[in-house]
Amino acid sequence: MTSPADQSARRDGLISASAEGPVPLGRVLVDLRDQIDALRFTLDVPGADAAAVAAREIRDQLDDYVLPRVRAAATPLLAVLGGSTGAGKSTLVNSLVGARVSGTGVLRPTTSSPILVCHPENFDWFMGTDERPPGVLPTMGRVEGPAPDAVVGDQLVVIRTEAVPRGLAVLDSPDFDSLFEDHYGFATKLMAAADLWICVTTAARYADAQVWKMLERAREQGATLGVVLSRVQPGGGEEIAEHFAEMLDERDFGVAPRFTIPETTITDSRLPEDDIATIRAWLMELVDDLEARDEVIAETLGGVLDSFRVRIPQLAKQIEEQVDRRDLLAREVEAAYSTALAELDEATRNGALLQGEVLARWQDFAGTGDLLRALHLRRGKDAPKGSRRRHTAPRVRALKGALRSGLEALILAGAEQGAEQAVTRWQADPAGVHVLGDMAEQLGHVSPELSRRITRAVSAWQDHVLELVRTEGVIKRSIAKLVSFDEEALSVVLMVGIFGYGTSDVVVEGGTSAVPQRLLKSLFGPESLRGMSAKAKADLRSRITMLFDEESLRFHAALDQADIPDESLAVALYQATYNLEVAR
Amino acid sequence: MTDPDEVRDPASPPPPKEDPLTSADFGPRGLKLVRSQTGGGARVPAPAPSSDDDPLTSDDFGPGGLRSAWPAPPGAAEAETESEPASESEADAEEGAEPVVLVPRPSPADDFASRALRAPVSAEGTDPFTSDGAPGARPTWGRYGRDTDDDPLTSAEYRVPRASELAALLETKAEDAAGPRFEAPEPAGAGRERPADTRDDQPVQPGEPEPDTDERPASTRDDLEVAETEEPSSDDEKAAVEEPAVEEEPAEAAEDEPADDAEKDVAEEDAAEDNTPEPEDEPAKEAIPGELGGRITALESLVELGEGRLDEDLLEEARALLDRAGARMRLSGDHTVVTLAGGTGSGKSSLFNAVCGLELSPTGMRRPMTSLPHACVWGMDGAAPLLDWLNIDKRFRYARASALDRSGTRAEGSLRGLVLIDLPDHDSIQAAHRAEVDRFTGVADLLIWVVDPQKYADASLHHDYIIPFARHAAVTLIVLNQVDRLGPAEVKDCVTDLRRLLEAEGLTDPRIITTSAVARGGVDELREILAQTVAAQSARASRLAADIDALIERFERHAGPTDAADPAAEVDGPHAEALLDALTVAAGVPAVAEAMQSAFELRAADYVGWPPARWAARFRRDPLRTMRLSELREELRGSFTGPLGAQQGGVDSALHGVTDGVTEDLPGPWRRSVRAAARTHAAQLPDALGVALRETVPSFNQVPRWWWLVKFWQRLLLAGTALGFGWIVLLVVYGAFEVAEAPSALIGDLAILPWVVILTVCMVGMGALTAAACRNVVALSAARHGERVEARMRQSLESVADELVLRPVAAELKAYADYRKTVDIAVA
Repeated sequence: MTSPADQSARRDGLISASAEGPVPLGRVLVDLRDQIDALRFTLDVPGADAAAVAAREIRDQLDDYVLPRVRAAATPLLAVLGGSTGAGKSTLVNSLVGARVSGTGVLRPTTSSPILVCHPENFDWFMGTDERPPGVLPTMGRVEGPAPDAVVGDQLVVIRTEAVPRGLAVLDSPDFDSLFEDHYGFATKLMAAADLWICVTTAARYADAQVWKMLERAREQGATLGVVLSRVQPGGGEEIAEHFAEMLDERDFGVAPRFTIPETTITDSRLPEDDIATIRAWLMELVDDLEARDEVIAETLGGVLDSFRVRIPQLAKQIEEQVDRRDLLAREVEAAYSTALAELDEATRNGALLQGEVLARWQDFAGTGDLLRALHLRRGKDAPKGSRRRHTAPRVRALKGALRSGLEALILAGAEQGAEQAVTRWQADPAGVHVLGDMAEQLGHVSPELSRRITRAVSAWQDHVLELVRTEGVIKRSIAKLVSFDEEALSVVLMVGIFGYGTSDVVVEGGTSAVPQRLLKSLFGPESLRGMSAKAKADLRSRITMLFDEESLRFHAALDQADIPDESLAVALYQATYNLEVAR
Repeated sequence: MTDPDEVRDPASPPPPKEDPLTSADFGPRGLKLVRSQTGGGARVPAPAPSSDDDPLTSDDFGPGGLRSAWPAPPGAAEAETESEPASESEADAEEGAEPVVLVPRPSPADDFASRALRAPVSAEGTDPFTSDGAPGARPTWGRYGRDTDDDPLTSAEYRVPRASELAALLETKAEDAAGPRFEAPEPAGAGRERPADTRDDQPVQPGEPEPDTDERPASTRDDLEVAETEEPSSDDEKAAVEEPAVEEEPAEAAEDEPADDAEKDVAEEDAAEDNTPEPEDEPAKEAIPGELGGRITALESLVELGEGRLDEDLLEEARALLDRAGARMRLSGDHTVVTLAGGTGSGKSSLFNAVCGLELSPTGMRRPMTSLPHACVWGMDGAAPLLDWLNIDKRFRYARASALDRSGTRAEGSLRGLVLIDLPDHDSIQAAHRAEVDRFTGVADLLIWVVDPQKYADASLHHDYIIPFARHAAVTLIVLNQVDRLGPAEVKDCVTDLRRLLEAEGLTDPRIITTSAVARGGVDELREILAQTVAAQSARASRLAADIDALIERFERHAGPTDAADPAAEVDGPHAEALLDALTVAAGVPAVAEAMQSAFELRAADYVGWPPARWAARFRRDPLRTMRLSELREELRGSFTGPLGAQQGGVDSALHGVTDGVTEDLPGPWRRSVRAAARTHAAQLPDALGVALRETVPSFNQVPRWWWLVKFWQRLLLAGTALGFGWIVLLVVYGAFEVAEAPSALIGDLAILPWVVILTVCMVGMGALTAAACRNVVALSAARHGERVEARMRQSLESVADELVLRPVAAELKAYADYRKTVDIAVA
């Protein structure tokens, strides 16, 4: 196999050699080929696999057939014989050529490497020389024949013989329905590179599903068809031939020329001459009549380019689907985290935090009167006694700490839930599974340094609330003259109030609720209190949102890493199709 | 052999030599050709009254083109010349002239030839399919050989009705929908040793004319009816028979089976219960023998255990298999379902016809040919429900009775119990055929893949059928058909190549035979294998065992490595401790304890505090009063509500790592389910914790008794102080100011003023001291109290955690252990 460097060198050489035909066409096709080569369908969207295969086929067809044809005219006609295993392709080739060039046998499948038979004058064209690559299938390695019994793997065996007329080459391809996958690959590749594709099938196999699939495929790709029904038993021949003809007509293959070969004895791997007379005549006709040959070649090339008109937009559509799926995945991550955020909002509002330790500390703080000790009477301009403040500090600190740890746990649980939700949603989608790869475990939990970030965020928020109380806590003038307060304690009271102490969800025995609110309302006035509460809540929310955004960044990073195609590729493909139309 | 009981017509010449092997009187079927003797009276009854010899229109001829009615034994025939025709017409009349038997009757050889339909060989070789039904228009019909022998059954020149005609013929005679269509003695098979056949096929058992008449068409119908009513009991018998047919008891099977078979055959109408009792009483499992039954039960419990944990597809497949296995085991165990599957044109229908000996399934050149499955049953008893379950169209059910089985014992080479099904192809352009094939290959007991030299390496066969059924090598047979087209060396090459391909695909030691439906003797090997399989009666169990193997392997993947130690039964100690600690913190137990302490101390102050200090505090300037919020104070004091549960966030993080210790070695689905089990009650945990704590926390209003004493003491002191002050005032009033005359010396004497003052001051001091001292004591006891409360709360939390978290996890782990055990049982 030629190395990629050699290939590109040859290609560049060809472009600069100013191929015949409209220059834009060649360039357009080369551009198209490069674009298609660069396509990747990474996400497991339905149709992605088929699209990847189709892209590869189009690229191969461009390489093998279209580009060489566009650059050089007056080339020999390549007739490819394809068919099921055991259909008699190799026998037919041997018969047409008149010598045993292709191995035949009883064991199935027989032909493994394709065998190309051509006239010596065309040999250079098919074999390739040092100056120019082979005119067809340039990427396949070649070996000069004859080697009817040798199996040389995935190389093309080129045999020259005088028995084949000038201007015609016959290619015996491997079968397309045996259990060796690479035979199918070869068969399709060679079909894509053929000017004339002859399907050989037998009386036993003419109703096989695979045969009809290949015929459909050939038609889609625009090749000129011929159909041979071989191994027809002498007795029931007409009936089968008619049935086959009916089936062909039903499926719109009426135009293809049909031939029948009866089951006879095979001598020296060849059929009797009478049986293949019609086929030989047809091929000779094609070769002798230059116009007819050119017509066939032009028709096939035109058919292939026509088929591009359909196949390439399909690829572009698939690319768009990939992009859509990527967006969908991103949206799912957003949705998961916003659900978590909403739940968190609810929890911070309705008093879910005021349980367990926080409530106990609050009760400790409030019931022992420390809360009230936070308020001092102003005596003139006296500063509040330092001893008092120090005395209240432990409980206030404890309550503050409890609030902080409670809030942290809540946010951590929310982030954990968000990550789990996001991973679950992605796993429900096959494309998401692919993107997740083996990171599912890791992404399903919070990132390791999240707890530190949460701690920092929460204490920053608490400081912010303290600032709020300090700066915006404008005490009613009437009271300000008389009472001063410990800011820290009041900020804690504010926090407890924000978290929903006194809402209906928190049941407090033995007393009405909303103690913090009433206290603060009387201290700050309702307006001021509302303002402060709103600001504190907004600040908390924005910090939590920032934390969650950082968390969801991991998912977006995973999406980016997955190498999903971009929309621009689709646009470029459409553009290329348009250019192709213009250039033709 | 001369028949000693032969009753001879004295007028007749002595019967010719009766050796069927050498005598010319016997035809290829071993049946005596009834000749009209040139020398005398008829030895045999005259031909049937009808003079119409056209098999198509005469009622005497059955669908095989052969005259109906059994031949009379050469000796007894003479005696029953009268009865024969009568009974024959009786038979015909009884069944509406249904031709059932296919034994040739006509007399001399050439006559014979003229009786049967010899088709004129037409000159142009008209195509049988395009000509419109002219009789005999099949000169090149080559299915049974191209030679020119005279045997109507094997010669190509005799017409056999086409399938469409067959259907029409049968349609008009349809009676019992579930019953067999027609029954015929099994022809000995093309190419088999004639002498052996003729010996076996001889209808006459010397000295036993009875069985012969028993088997007449009239009574075969009776037989069948009787057999069908006997089905329930014979099912039991069959169940009893199945038991010994289990694989691991071959010895028992070998000796039980012939005996049981014989008993079954003979005692069919007796319904005599056998010696072997019924294995199980449940009607669903009554037919499942030991080991297979155990595995099926294991598979059922695996499906149960896997519910909600394993992939739903796997469970669906397992359930489908269980249904199928149950249904199959319940249906006839005597019958072995054998399917002929293969690509279009490989010759399945031809093989089918060859094995059956009759042209039952239509063959032809058009592709695809067969579109609906055809079934042929040897030994019809009990097969009807099986065929119904297989959903085979009633038009395409055929029945055969083996001539070899007449004597009641199962002869070697008999195909009795065989249900042979000709399937459509799997690779033609009609997709519906493929669906049929898939359906049948899912239930067949023996799979026969028919390949031909052209198509044996087709991807669709190997990829879609051979590889998925690679495990079923024991119940698979590969038949290379159409070997008449190859030379012997080529055949060998083909077979070797095919074997190589199959072994590469995972079929261990595949059985490959070569057949030719066209050549003589081409299907012998196939018949032999069929006969062996049917006689062994183990194909059904093997097939099910292979299916179960395939499924169990997939279940095994989720059972973890086999050499791993037994999984832990519950969450280990350290993790449980950590869980408890975390839950304790989440419920705020330390904080609650501290709050309780503070509340305790505060309460104590009410009782043991110094009253004057309390009053003084009240008169301090109260900011709350200035804010007009004095009622808050009382509210705040009363806001000790007790613990109110835990925070959800704390609970979630507590549950986070509790299963880490036990889930390390578990396979994926189980790890997830154990983790999920830990969280099943996560939402209820906070409330449950709150409830548990509230019950353990002692009532807040408990007041230790000694506080009352101290209170009383303080009051006393207060009273004493008040008295003292009063006394001082009195002393001052009476002593110092001498307002009036002191009533008593105590009051009036100034000298005791200092003492009284000191006394008062002492009392005040004592009050303060008591308060201080009691405060310390209270602090200590509060601390102790707090610790006790904390310990008790922790204990109650432990029980909650155990119930809501640890027990579900333990249950899940137990399910996993059960799963592993069951997988071991199912695999073994």
